[in-house]
Amino acid sequence: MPAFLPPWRTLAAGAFWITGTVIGVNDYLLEITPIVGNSMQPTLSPQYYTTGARDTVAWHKWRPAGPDLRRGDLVMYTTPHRGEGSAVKRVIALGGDTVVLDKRRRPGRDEDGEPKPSERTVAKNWDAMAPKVVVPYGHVWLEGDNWRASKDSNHFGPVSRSLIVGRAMGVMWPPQRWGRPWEREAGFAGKTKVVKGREAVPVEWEELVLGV
Amino acid sequence: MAMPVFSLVARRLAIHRISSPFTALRRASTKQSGPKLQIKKAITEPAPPLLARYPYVYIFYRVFKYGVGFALSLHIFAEYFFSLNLGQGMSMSPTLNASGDWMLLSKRYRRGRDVAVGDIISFKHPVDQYTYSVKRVVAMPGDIVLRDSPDTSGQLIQIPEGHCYVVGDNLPWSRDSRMFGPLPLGLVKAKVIGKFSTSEMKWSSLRDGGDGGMRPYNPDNDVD
Repeated sequence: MPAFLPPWRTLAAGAFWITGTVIGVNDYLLEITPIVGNSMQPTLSPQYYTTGARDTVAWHKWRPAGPDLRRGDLVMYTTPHRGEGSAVKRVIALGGDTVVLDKRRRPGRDEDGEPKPSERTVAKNWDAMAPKVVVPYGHVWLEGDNWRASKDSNHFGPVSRSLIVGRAMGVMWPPQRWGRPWEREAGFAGKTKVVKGREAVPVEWEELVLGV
Repeated sequence: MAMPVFSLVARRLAIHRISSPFTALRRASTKQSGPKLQIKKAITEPAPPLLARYPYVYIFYRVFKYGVGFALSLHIFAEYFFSLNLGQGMSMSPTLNASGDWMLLSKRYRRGRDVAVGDIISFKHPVDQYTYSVKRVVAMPGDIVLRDSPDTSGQLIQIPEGHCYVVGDNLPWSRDSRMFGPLPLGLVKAKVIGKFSTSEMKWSSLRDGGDGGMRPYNPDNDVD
């Protein structure tokens, strides 16, 4: 080993502390990721498909889907249709709420409005849910801000809170977009109407949730 | 009594550049006696490092550092490699006892990697996010299953992409996919690969689903 390098013990200790801290912080406290894709335009990464510019967002990871989760928050969640993947969407409704489905968001059509044969089942499921869905206990309704290109609860239905892995704290980079753009732009809610309801524990799950 | 001893320690530390508080304490208790004549001379020297001057801060720092290191190692091992958990509840009886069975969990199968029909898996509960549950996989994406227990509704459903169907071995006493529907594979945290029964005091493997394990039909294994 060259003389200018520290002895192997110091190197090993340094590697342990750096790796351990990164994994521990990422799993419990904070994650910082760039946003790829156009499903959250124009809120996040608005120039993604023109210049490729990405927003880098910090995620709060300590109990992100606890009782302080609100409608309008941005969450990162493990996608229900692919266990390895994760995505970013906005919380539109919480458990107990009634969502009046937006017809523009009916899945199964491509960007030109032509029906896609591969998504016939998804469209059929959406028609079965329409015109309104009551979000079950422990679940949330997620939608992308870009209704033209967003694979969200309109495809796979209400998403369990257990799948939520992070809640957005703010845009870190680039500096001119610092802050919480999803709260500044008031038009986020789109056309999806939500009737607020009370999230009550169903009788059959009382023992599990309340421990009675 | 306590105050003079502490001041002795502090002064001794100021004189000798002592790196460890334990040597300082030993010297203070054995050698120190009588008036301290060298103190004035010693104080003219440059101050020793901060941690050496405050032994309690030093002890706290060492304990804290090793504690954090141990917690990080434990987290990484239990989250990404193996963990041993005590199971409770009779939904997996008789494969797992209602109480007193320790389960060995392999985290290689997290997010549903390599999970197959017949495996016993541990997953984050889709209804209560602070609960973990253990059930048996009876169907994987694309499979068609009975939605309810046999001889009830007879309704068949197809498991959607990225989901599995989990049911407890104790059918009448289990709340599982028959109630909450197909389980997203992203919620799967581990596979149960072994158990230690405290009533029998022995290990047994559950890697292939256990003795009464349910396997998909394979004509090669058909004895008749």
